[in-house]
Amino acid sequence: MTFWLGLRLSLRGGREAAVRLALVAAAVAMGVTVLLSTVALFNAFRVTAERPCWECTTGSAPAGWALGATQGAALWNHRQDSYAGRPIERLDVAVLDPAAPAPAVPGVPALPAAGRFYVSPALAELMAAVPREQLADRFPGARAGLVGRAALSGPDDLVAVVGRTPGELAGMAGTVAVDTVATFPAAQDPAADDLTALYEHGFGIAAIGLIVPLLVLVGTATRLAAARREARFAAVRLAGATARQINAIASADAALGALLGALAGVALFQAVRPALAGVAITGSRFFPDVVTPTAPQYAIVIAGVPLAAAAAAVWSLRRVRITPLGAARRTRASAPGWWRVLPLLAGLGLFAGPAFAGGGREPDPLLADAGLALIMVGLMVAGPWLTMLAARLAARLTRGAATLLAARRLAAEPKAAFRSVNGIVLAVFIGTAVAGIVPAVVSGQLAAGDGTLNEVMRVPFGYADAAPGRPLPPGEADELLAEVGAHPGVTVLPIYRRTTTQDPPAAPLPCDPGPGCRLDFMLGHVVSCDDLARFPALGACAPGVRAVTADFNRLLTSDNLLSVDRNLPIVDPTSPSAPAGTGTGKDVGSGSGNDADSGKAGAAASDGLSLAAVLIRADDPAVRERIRTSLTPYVARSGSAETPLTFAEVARFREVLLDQVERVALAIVALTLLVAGCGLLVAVAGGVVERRQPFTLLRLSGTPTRTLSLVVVLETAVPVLLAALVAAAAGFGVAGPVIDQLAIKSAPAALPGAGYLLTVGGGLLAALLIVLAGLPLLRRVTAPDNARFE
Amino acid sequence: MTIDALPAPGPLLRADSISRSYGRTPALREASLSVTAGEILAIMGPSGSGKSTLLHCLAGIFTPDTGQVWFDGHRLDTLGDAGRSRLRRTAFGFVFQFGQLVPELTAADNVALPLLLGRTGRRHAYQRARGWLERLELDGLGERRTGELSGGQAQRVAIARALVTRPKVIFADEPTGALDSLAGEKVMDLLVGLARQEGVTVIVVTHDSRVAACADREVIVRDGKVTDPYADEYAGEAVR
Ligand SMILES: Nc1ncnc2c1ncn2[C@@H]1O[C@H](COP(=O)(O)OP(=O)(O)OP(=O)(O)O)[C@@H](O)[C@H]1O
Ligand SMILES: [Mg+2]
Repeated sequence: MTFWLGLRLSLRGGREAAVRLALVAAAVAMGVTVLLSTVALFNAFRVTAERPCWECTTGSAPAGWALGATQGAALWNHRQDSYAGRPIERLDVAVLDPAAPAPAVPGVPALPAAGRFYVSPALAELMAAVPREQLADRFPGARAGLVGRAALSGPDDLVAVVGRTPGELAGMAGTVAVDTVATFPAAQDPAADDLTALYEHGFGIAAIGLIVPLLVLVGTATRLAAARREARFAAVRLAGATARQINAIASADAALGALLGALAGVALFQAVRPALAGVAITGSRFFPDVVTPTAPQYAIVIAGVPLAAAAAAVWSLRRVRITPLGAARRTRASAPGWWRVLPLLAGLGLFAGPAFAGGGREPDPLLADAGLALIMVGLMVAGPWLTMLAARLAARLTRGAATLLAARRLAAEPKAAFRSVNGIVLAVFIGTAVAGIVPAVVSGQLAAGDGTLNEVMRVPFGYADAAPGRPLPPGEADELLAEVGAHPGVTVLPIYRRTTTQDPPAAPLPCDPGPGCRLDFMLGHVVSCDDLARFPALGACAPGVRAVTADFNRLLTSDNLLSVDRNLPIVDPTSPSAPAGTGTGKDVGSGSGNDADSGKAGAAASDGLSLAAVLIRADDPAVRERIRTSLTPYVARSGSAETPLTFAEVARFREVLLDQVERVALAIVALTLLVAGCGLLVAVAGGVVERRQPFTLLRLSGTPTRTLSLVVVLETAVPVLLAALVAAAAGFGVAGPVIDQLAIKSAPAALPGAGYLLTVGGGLLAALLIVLAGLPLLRRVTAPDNARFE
Repeated sequence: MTIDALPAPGPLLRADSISRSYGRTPALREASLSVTAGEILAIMGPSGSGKSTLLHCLAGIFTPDTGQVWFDGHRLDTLGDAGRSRLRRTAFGFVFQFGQLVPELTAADNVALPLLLGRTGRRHAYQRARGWLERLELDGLGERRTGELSGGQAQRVAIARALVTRPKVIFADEPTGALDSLAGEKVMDLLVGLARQEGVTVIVVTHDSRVAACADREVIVRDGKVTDPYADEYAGEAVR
């Protein structure tokens, strides 16, 4: 009965109640749409991460290749290839006994016979679009069909499953015999990288970043015209309602708005879903049908949101005592104290100090996380105090009725004024921090080796004992160098394996290995000084030296160009010359393409040195892809786990990842600002309705509406701008130590990109413009002919 | 006989040297007052003397700081919130100067409100509400929002609501304070006439001597103290 009364109050309560209901419903609808979108993307991410990871398949060691001895099994060679920076998953398989049941790869009807292959739809498209010798020639045979989605993470995945003869596969290093194909999800792979964890972390932060402004929005909407509502509740109390009945009435009202909002949100989400599926939030798109909340999630939202709203309504009534004569605030808000800045300062201090102490050392993740959390909480805690400070300052500095009125109110109720700004603070902070770090890292990467390495392709074979794969024996090395050298406009640096290496000393190392500290046991490679001279970024030998030993491991394997850069130069005049028997005194080969050089390379090879890796500079992208295609058999035979990539491409992989992080972060920031803007509008509307009486009186006594509008705008804009400023400062404060820690020595100071300015600046502007939409309400509500007071 | 029970017949409502202050402002000082069933009592006195405070204490809206309030043989000042809410819903009616109606609800809704808050069925509640609106000459206005009624009409709705639960006491605080004399007279006539018909006790706080003239008896409040010839007669003893 009381519930019914509550519904009647909110449904038949006249225009004001209807506006309130509509605002609450709209706010909740927005929130629900955002929530469902996040959940849908997270689901898509989870479903995709949980697909059977056939790539994780491991096999038995290739002991002796007793063909046919392992019944029913297949030979399996899986590696990564790439085209123009896009990774290609490549699987070469050979069915050992066509009569026996072979292990099945999901998405492929049966393992392809030799000379047939399956490719994913995206790869098929790409193959058709680019010249044969750049891509299609890498897959021998005829296309048997398309790889189905069971094997793919999304419609953009490039995957090839190539059928080979057992003999061909036995010749490739890295081939294993496989009985069953792995079906566990990638996340459970012991060899899995931390990308999944990174994304889950990201979704977590996104969720927090979004939930705060959403709660603020819904909270503000339910608090709309609270004073008037509480006066009504007092009247109902006078008629004999118990406090509990008042709670029921209030929660009925809140639950109704929330239910309408949740339903509208579900409908709105259906409209947004197609667009959402097209967003490459992790760099490649998900299959559209997995970007969806589950039925239980829908149910939880539709049932949970009204319940939560009802609970929140009851909770917000705890602070007021509704007597039959009226509502009394239980506590008078005290002015916020200066201690409120302490958490923020502590967080910034922690971040700038201990978390990143020691240049070049990895940051302490626990301290860094604690610092971040402190900063985020600190921003919200410090906000009211800063608002009050700014308001007092403004009141002192300015004349004019509007400024004075606005400053008075801000100074009197800084907490209320700041409440609707919380979301903006978080959004601006996260956005600024991410947008401050990412461009610096990205530009820093491409500045590695002063940018001269960007077009250089690194092709590691067996570059170290512990590395998978074997170095190319002298004969194969000759062949390869000749083949690569035949392409026009190509510069090559062959890197040979040193045959005699020392064991590491047992005692602690005399210095930290790096430029300026070269310990002989680490110097596993030999290069010719003439060849090296063509790659000045890598360093130079002392005059007169013909070949030196050096450590190229970091250069060949690191996926982080910043750490590559930190390791340059690899060779300097103090580098030991290669001792006799390891190529010293011989021209180790230059591979510049003419016969004489090839002969020299042969001389080195005959010296017993096998090829650990080559660096190839080719400025023409088409030539590069042609070289990559011709390298494919060599890489396969060596069994190297690394694919030939230019340093720009290495940087690109990381950049793509970082860009994704930035894009996701900015998307969240934009969304958050939108939500926060709506919260702001609701707060403004609420503030106007709440102060209808004094505003009307001001207007009756001759204050122009313009002045009143200015009061409202100032009241809102001051906390918003102040919050944005402080949050942006905190964001840069966080970005600074991170950039420093990464020690990007040659990185130009990169300013946040256009995306940041557009999202954060534009978002703030939009939020403020949304506030202007509340001004007609002010005009209307305070119209003198409306001046009827109860 | 328990200490909390007062045998009938005695005064229906009695205040026993109650004091009440707002912070450091004393509003009532040891005020005592007795009201018999069916009586119509006017409380008069200068502004700020504590009339409203006394009324609120008698109605159980306020609890006095010291002293006791008895209603129908039971202590009122020690009753919990739920019990006092029930009394407001079943035994008391209120007519204030303004603010006792929910302006967004219709006149019928407002009158039916105490019944709805109780366990009365909706149909029955509205039936009774309409009956009372008719008796207060408000036929046809039942579907109007009370925020859209004239002051006199709104006060009559308030009276209808006060009477709809067949209460024992109606507390009225300046019921005509916001009305012109004609409308005020009509409101008072209806209130007093219906109260006498129904045998309801009415305690009315007023400045207006014409309002007071409708009453059976009047007491004066001055500086938080009540001048009431009957009060002494009851003071300290339980039985008349
Ligand atoms: N909420 C309050 N807070 C503080 N003091 C109050 C409050 N309400 C009343 N008072 C004080 O208590 C005293 C009695 O007030 P009360 O309202 O009972 O007077 P009243 O006789 O009803 O006056 P009026 O005829 O003007 O309505 C006054 O001095 C008043 O200032
Ligand atoms: Mg009074």
